[in-house]
Amino acid sequence: MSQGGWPIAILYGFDYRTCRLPINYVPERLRARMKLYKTGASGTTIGLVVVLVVVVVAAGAYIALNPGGGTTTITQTSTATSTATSVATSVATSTATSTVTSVSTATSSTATYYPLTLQAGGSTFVNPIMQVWATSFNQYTNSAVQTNYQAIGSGAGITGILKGTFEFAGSDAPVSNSQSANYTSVKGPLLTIPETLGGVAIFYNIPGVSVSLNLTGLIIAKIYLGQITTWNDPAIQALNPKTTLPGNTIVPVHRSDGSGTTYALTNYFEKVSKDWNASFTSGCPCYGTSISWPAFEIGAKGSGGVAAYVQQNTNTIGYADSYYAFSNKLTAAAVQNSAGHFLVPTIANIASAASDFSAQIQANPTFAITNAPGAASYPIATYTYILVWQKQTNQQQGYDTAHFLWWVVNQGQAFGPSLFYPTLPASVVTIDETIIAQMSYNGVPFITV
Amino acid sequence: MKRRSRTDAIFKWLTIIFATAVVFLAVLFFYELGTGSSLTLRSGFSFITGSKWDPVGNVFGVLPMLYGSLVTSAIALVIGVPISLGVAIFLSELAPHRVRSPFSFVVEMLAAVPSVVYGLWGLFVLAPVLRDDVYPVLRTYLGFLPIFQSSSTQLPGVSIMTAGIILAIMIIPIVSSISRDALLAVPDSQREAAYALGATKSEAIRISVLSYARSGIFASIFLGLGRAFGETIAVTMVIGNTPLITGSLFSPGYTLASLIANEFTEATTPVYISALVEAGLVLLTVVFLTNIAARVLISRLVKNREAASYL
Repeated sequence: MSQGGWPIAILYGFDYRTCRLPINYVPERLRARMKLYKTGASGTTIGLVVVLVVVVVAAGAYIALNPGGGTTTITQTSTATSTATSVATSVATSTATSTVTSVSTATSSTATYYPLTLQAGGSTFVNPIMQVWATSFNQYTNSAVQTNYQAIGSGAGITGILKGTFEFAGSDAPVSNSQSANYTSVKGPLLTIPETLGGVAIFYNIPGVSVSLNLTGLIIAKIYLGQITTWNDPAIQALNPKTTLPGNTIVPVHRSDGSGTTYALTNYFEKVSKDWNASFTSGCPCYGTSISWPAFEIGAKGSGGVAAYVQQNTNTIGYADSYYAFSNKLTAAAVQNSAGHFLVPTIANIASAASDFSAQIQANPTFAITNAPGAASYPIATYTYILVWQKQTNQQQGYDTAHFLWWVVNQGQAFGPSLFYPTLPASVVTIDETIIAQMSYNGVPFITV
Repeated sequence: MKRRSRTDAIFKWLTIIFATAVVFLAVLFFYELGTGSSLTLRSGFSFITGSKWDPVGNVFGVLPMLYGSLVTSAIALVIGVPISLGVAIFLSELAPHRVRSPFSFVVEMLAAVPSVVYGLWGLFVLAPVLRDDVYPVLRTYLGFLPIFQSSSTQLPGVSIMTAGIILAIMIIPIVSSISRDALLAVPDSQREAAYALGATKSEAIRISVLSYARSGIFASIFLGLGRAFGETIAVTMVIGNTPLITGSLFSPGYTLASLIANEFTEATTPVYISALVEAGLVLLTVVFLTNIAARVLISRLVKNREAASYL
């Protein structure tokens, strides 16, 4: 593309020395330039532009028509190689074509895994430990199975699993049957696996008070409703006789973004406070990931946003998930459990709340574990769940997913305490194992208990 | 010559295709948002006139968010546009040549700062300063105006005013660099004509430069308004996220964009998602209408001016 052609002419119309766009005198100027470059082989330029446009349009169309292109490719190749129904035969056929196979070594398991990437996403609460699980499982399988978990929020995770973008999703709130109903004829019911848990820590910024205050669920609910408005309210003072509380107005801070933490806290309020339920004029359910809070409160984004606002502003009260509270060493309030004990959240007493309800979890994995009856149980605890389809439509991905989940509820739990996550009680691990064993391809389960 | 006209035709059609693609994209936006919000769109105008947002009870009204979006953008323009124009005039007309490019570089660099950084800075640095040192002063001396009144003894640092100030800082780079380009495009003959008539520097800038570059300056303000309207993270961090309409700029508020940013990721029921998509539709429609209204207003203004100048 020697001299000439439209693009060059336009470029020359632009005056470099003054950086001025030639508004008035462009026509004359252009005409003068055009005369100079009559011999221009503009065909080449136009040709290049056309090729560029075609490439861009083709790429755009490809992306538009194939959402989650990477996953689709894997699906196609793997279905092509493994046509057999039983696990053993398909392993044999697929190892012939794929390059990586893990045979048992000193560090890895005896099982064989398909080398592929599991796409997953959802809850942000579980993300820190999920990333550790993903890396550790990758090592465990001799780099065969990659897990790509994207912390995009529970709602987006649910949409991902419903639309088939994800092999499994993380969610802080269980999914209603009506949402998955459209897909159950092909993929079976959506299995809900409680895989780890957390609590909700209550913290505050009161001038002159640095100790853990004793509070009850009733009082916290009343503060968030605006029925208790000052720190030296008789109800609070009675529980903390040794602390001098100021008469300042309390400013409650809540999560503005939808959150499993809000879900657990409001679920607890619904169980313990009649006033809370009465404030919902249209009746209960009186809990959710986002709710309509009273208008005098402040909404802050994320656990970090709530903590920052509380630290900067006096007379505030806020809440955050236990992972955030532990890792940032916040001074949490001691909340009275249903047995009458005042407890600050710890990994042990959150796990204890989970143990209290294992019978209920057996019957219904989505049972909310707030307000546990045990003497050593923290009252505001909650599971976070993995959602996965029972009937897998791809043998290899289903096989790896089932084994990953199995590993998470067994070996994976050991990573919990160092990351401030409680470990699942043994009874719940057994329940999870029976749920994971339901996962199947063409009626053949991946794992038999 | 024939060859030239053929390449011209190809070039013309290419540009036509690109231009229509943009229009098509805009139509597609409305269509997608419309279908995505079909579940709540049926409930009609109560979505815009209602002021209760309750995802648990499936009651959705975005009036406070709409109010918050409009007021924060208005504050951003009131504070940001004069500053931006000052920067633009200084850089194009008054600054010595040596300082122009470093100055422009700094201004344009501000545009590259991610909005979450503005948000964090707003929350950790700006909000406490405004709360302790600026807002009490405003309340004391301008408290006779309803917008600077507040019933609470302890002003929250996060408020509609704070969000507006953050937005003003965020739109300054855009508005100033585009209006600077518009001012630089004014031909020197315009300035020379003004000087020839005996105008001083400031008169020449006012008479010949600013009025000549008017449409470019307004275009830059539109872009700034669009940015202010659509900004999510920075606003979410400093506005307090409370659906309130109080009239006071010191009270926390909410905007449509931060509502979507806050709740979309954890929205799990179809009706809830539909309501959030409809909030997006309202946001897009408001931006669309504001732009049309502003354009009509300006074309009238320009006509009146021109008519007046001939008298």
